Amino acid sequence: MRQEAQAIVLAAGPGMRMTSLTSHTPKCLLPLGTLPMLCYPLHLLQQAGFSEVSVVVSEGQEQRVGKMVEQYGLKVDLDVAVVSTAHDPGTADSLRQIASKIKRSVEEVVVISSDLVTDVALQDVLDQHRSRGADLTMLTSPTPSLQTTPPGPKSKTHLNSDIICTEAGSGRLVYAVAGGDYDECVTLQSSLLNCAAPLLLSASTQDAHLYVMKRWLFDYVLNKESPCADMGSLKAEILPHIVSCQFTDHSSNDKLGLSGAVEREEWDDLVKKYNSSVVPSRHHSLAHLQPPVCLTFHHPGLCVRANTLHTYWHLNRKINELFNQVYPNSEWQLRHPTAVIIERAQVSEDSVVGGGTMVCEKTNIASSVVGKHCRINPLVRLSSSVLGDHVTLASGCVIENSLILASVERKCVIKNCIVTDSNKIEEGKTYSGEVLEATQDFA
Amino acid sequence: MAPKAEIHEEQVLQAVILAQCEQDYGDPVTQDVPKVLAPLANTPLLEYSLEWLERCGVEEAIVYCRADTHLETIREHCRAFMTRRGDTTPATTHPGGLRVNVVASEDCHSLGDAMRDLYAKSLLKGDFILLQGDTVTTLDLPALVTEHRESRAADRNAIMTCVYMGEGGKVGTTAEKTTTATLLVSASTNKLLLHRRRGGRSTSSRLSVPTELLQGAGDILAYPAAYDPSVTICSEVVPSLFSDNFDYSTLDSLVRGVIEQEELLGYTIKCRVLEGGYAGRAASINSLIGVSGEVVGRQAYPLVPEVSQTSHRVRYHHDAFTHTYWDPSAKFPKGSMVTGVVVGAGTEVSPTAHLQNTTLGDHCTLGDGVVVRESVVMTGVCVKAASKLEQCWVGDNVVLGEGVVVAPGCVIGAGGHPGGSRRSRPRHQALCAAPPW
Repeated sequence: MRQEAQAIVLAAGPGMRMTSLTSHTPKCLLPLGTLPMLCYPLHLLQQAGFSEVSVVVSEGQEQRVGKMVEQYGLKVDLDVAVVSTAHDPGTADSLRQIASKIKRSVEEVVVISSDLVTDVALQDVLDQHRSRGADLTMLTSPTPSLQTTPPGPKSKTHLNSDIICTEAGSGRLVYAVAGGDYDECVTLQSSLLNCAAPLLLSASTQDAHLYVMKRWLFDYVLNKESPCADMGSLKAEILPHIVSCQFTDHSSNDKLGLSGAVEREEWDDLVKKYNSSVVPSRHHSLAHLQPPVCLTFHHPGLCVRANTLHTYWHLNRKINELFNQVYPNSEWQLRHPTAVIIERAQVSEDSVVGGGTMVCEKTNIASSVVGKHCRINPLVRLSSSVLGDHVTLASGCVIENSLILASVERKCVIKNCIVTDSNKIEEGKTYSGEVLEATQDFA
Repeated sequence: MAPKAEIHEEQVLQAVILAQCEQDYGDPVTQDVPKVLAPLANTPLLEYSLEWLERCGVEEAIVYCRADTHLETIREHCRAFMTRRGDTTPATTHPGGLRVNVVASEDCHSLGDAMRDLYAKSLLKGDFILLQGDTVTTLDLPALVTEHRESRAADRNAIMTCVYMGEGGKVGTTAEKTTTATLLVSASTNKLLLHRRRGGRSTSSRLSVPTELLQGAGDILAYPAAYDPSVTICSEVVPSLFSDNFDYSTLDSLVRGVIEQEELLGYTIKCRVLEGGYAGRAASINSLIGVSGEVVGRQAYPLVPEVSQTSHRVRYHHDAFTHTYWDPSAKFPKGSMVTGVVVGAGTEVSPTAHLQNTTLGDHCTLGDGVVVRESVVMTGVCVKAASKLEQCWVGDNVVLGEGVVVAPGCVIGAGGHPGGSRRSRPRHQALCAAPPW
């Protein structure tokens, strides 16, 4: 049976924008409401009807990722590929590693980043892609405004938003540049302006890193002779290149675009033999790009990329409200049945408790997310915080608005902090606005 | 102190028509007739503006001209317009009809000078519509004025609303480079963020958008080529800005100045890009021919060629299939080779003539086998057999000999007698009186 689309999840990212969290855990396995982050795009693909997904992970993670399917009740088969992190790979390098895994017969390739949490119906995106004959469809959504303040030291880094320019009305993508890649001016080329339709330039729309590409375009991206061979990042480099190719004039002698793959006489023979019902399949590699049709699918609903500390925090805090939206039709519950909550513990309604966790008496948990296999000892006050998996909180701790990924073994007060290393906690101290992590050994 | 009485000034809707427009048609034409009275489908250009303004309920129109030889003609024309208003019963909303006031000045060479003069004479009392004399428009002006007033009420600093035509409104045939502009408009507030005239000496055709505009203003709509029909709704601040800055000579310089000095002065300009409606500017001879073609094609409905704008009576017969209009007294056999033509009174056209998209004035004679394409022919012209005219302007009482081929873009002044079997150079302008050939 001819498969129509194949999905690739890029999970090899090192999480450069949240380094305090990703030193020990790869970004894709960070917990988001008691589930690893990677589950969300996988579930999205499962909902859209995919039964097989290719996942690209960094070295050493294939075991953990491979086990995820049984652990979390996903119904997709994972085909895990490994990319070496020796030379700081970009997303394009990940794709090149798994080029061989893409089946020859697929029409479309769906590329998703592992940190995407959204409630879009992927089937709608694919439908629009096919019905409008697009070669590339990019999922866009309004940039989420995040009201929660993340823990840790106050940072002034203001990340620039993506700038996306579409033709007003038709949604055709004419210009895209990733945040951080532009300074004061954005230059639109004259060939772009010649299309003469009103253009909508928006800095409040984000590129959600979900792309549906036609097979020939995907081959072009992986082709060693195309200009994409030097590009490392899919979103920041390859995508703007593809979009700008819509307007460059590649006059090819061959109207059929056969360019060397099939000789002219061979072609004529085939046509004669099959009565002109021969159509050149575009599965051969192209070194030159013919003008692709690039569209955007604008999703006004929830769409957040959990690749910065701020968005990750925001998602965790809001996961109890959003869970059914982004993870529909699953048996996963926010208050896991195997969690043991002793009667005299006060756990608020909007808190999330993972499986195998034990919450002892006289604790007060408010608006928090507690991971799996945790142990909350008595007399702990936990508010507006997020706990990872396997975290033990010693008795008497007071934790507020913090992200705890390692056990807190000594009684202390922690406010607005990020804790990733247990050894940094000392008895009886108050920590406020710090990042308690293991320092790197330079020895 | 006497209590401050609420003086409720009647909001008189005013319009200013600039008749001494920046770009003239050039000498052979404007020697006889001022540009605003040049005929477009056998109706003077000014008539279209005055007629439409009256239908819109504008109460006072100020026609601003240079004080030259044509001033009296324009004055006469406007006087006649107002007298006609007295005779015929106007079906307009306003009982008084349109009052036309002709203001002239000696050394007025640009829009800026005109504005400064009007400001000095304190003739403008509030918001007004600014039109160029060669614009033919059927846009909904009262609605635009209301929108302007609303935006002014919301934000005191919105001093002007520019009107442009987007893709849907105007097909690019008449849009020359100088009349289109690249615009950046904020999507939420309609504020004009960047304005650049296309063509001319534009160094680069790339558009650089400063990213701070995007962060501040939200989404931006970019119009790569919006057609500028020179229709603007201005508030009373605009003439005072002109008088403060002596180097502002055109509206473009004012727009540029306001946008650049937005932090200093705090003024903003709103911009409306319309998709429907018709507005065309007959700035040059080529665009005159183009706009004439569009009017003949009934795009400027209800201003149509068969109804005389002066007398409001049907003056021409009209064949909708070929878009031809002809006067009852014209000897005009409708051949199959004739499309988009307006034929004036008493004109004789031979059956073998080919006519396309032309306007013929009164009392012309066209011989056998004459081919006339996209031209404007004035009154009393005699074109002998086998001549060819293409995209040209032929003045009054010109006699063209046999077999004359007039290349595109030529202007033949009134009274000329180009001899037989001559070919003229493209864009050659022949003055009248002394026959040049």
